Amino acid sequence: ETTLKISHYLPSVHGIHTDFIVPWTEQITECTGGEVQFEIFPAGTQLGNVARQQEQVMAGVVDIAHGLHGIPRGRFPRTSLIDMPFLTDSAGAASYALWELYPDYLAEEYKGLKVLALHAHNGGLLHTNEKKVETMEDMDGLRIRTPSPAVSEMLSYLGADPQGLPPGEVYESLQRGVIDGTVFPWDPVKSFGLNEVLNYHLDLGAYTVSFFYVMNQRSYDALSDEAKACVDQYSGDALVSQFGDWWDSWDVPGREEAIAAGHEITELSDEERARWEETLQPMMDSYLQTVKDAGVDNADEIYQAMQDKIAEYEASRQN
Amino acid sequence: MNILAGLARGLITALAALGVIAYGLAALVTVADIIGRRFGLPIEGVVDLVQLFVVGGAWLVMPYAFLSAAHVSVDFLVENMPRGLAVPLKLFAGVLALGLLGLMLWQGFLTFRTRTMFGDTSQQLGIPIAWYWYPLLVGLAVSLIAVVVELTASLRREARA
Amino acid sequence: MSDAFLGLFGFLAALGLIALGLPVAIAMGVIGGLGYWYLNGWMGVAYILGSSPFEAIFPYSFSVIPLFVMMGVFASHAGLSRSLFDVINAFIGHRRGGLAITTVGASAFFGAICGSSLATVATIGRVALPEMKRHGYDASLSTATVAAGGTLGVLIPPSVLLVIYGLLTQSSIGQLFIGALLPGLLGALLYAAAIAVRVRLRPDLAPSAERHGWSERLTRLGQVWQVVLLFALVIGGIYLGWFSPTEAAAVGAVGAFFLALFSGELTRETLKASVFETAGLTGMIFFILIGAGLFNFFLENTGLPQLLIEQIRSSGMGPMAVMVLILVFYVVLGCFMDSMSMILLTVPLLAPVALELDFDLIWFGIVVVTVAEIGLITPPIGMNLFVVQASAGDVPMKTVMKGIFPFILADIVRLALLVAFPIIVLWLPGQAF
Ligand code: NA
Ligand code: NA
Repeated sequence: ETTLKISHYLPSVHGIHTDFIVPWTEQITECTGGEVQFEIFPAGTQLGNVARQQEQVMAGVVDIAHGLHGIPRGRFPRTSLIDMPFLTDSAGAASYALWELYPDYLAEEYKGLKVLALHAHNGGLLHTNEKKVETMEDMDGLRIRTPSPAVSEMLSYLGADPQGLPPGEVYESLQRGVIDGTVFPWDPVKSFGLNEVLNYHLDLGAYTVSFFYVMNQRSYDALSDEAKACVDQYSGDALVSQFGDWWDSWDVPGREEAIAAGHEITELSDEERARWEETLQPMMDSYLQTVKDAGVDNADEIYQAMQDKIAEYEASRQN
Repeated sequence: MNILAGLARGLITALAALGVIAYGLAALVTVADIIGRRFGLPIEGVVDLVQLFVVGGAWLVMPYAFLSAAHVSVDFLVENMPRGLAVPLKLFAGVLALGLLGLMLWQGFLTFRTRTMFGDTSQQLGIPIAWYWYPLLVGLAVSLIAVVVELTASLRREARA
Repeated sequence: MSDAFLGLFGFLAALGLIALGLPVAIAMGVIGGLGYWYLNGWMGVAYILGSSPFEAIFPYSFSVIPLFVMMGVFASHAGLSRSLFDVINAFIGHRRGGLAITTVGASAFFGAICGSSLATVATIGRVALPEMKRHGYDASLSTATVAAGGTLGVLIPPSVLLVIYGLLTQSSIGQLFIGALLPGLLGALLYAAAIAVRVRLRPDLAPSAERHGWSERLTRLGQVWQVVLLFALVIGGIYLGWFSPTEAAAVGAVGAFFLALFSGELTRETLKASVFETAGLTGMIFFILIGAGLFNFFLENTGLPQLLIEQIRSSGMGPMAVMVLILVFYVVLGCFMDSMSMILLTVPLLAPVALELDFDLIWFGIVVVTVAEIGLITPPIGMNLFVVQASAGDVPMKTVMKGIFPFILADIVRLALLVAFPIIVLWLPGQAF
């Protein structure tokens, strides 16, 4: 009997924990006839630090970790190309693209790790308390909390004033007007109770953020062949194909709550979107350049392949 | 020996002063940002800078806390113990402190090397993570010296008493 | 030995080392490290020894600790707190224990600026302790007052703990904030009552001053307008949205420094003293955070908290008995864990229990957050006790612990009232929504 340790940085009430990780562990425990057991360390435990997930699993302190590619920044330059603005606003498409590209283009970034799944959330929105944003001009000088350097840079280009802030402090900062808004998908809007202090939501679908779910290779190799087969059966494609629906379902409550509260939800208009993309072109070029400077010579090729895979996914959904 | 101890004390107090100056810089950067952003001149990456100054300050003042024996302990049980136990207990505490600090320094150095090898940087400004680690390495190394200096001084006081 | 049992054993071993007079941070760090080593081998412990000291003090929100400490130290050395307390003394010094009761009020007030118990204790401690000493207050009364006062701020926004609780249970954060107001006020009143009773029984603890006339009171009030202005700026700035609560610490520190500079009391000597006091006090607080972090790695790995919750859940006892067990559980856990980790770790497990027993989640949240903070002032291990002792400089821990019991009693009374009359929590939110 083996007990595997899993760590992640989300509170144990999050869908990642309740809908994805816990059921996954139960499937494998059942499949192995109880041979493999799990112990999960979520946010609030010492192993729940968002910046340490990759390192912990590499060092073998935990056997499996779920974390963000972007923190600490720069560790997954290839995978993080999925963060480029306006690539896709669909969790399903982004997760599909990452998984399709993994063997040929991204594998190098996961040496020593058995990759169980890669995924990304639905396009984030711009949520504001007092000011309704529809155009680039509306953004001018707004203080906006952002989740990542890529989004910070994007907002700077658009004229806003990005603020780094721990998620737990967003509610009070919005309530007091220390910030004018925040960039988030719907799911944290619901879980942090932000609909109480927000009024407007601009569905800009401009960016996504990606996650890894990985196992220490030595831990995997130490499993019996039957156990390995069980892990394989419930990971990879079996997991990745579910993230589109999962993220949709995690986003629904936040959106419904906003509608029930009478908030205004606006889509970014097509002309406006074109203006934003044009404004952001220099930023995208320099982002690609940074990735190339980090030693990824085929950054353009990977970016193109991501676009192709996303188009492929969208096309398959149309039929 | 006294000269060495004097030098060590000088180093430790200088680092402590430097650490508090770092705290002061954290405060000044924040206030400059608060005022600046009212006029559209925010300080970019202020969170990164404040973290750098506070983390730096915290590690630079650490040896001083050991030297001045500022670390709290519960005294009332020890007071009632036989006098003869005072010296062994002090030595025991000193050895444990040195062991813990020494392991932290050793493993901290390895972690520092891993993180700098990854090329980690701060989230907003991209400040190399090494800058956040140098104060930790210095602070832990000098804390080891501080424990020894404090232990020697306090054993001497014990011997005189 | 089962892991949970090992957790219990580690708990006792840490207590043992502390009883031998070892610095608390070292005792927790050593036992935490050894325990983790035993459970996970050398590779595991090597990793946490190398990374956790760095992470323990890295979060941006911890910047409030050194900055508020600086504010308190400068205010104290420049004589700002002295003139402030002289005013307070002129107004209410003739009432026995008046300065201590004022300190409770000041702590609650400071809670509206600051979300951190430790920072509140360090700041108020630097300001109030020397003044109460100067006015002849006994150290066991003054230090315990400051330590207990630090726990009040958690129910007064800014309160990240309430936000996190709201996130974990999906309850309205607005309702939690409103529901926390009366219990917070009740806490302050009960502390004041504890002081009043104590000084009535032992008048020598707090000598009363002569009564001052109104003209003298007003003259003195005129002398402290700068200090009042600084507080107004810090609190007003937060509520007007000029800066966040975390940034307020920087405003306070810079403000106190300039007030000290212009008051003419900032000599070379006082500057030097201020710098080294800040160094010693913050170095000690940060190292405790590191030691407690190591210990928490170990404690979590033993699964002890989860096991205890499972015992409570499966006990089949009635709601009241379960509630009492939960309260005891939090007070014990509060010895070693910080309130934030405790809430994150236990609330997802306990909230379903609370729902099964038909407890209101807003009420449960206020009770849980209140009790999580009580662990900070219960001996033998309570962070607030350690910080106040370090702030006082020359007071033995024995004295601090002796003085804390009336306040713990006041907290028990408060919890009993909250449990017996949930309306104290639920009335205000009911009015507002
Ligand atoms: Na507060
Ligand atoms: Na305690």
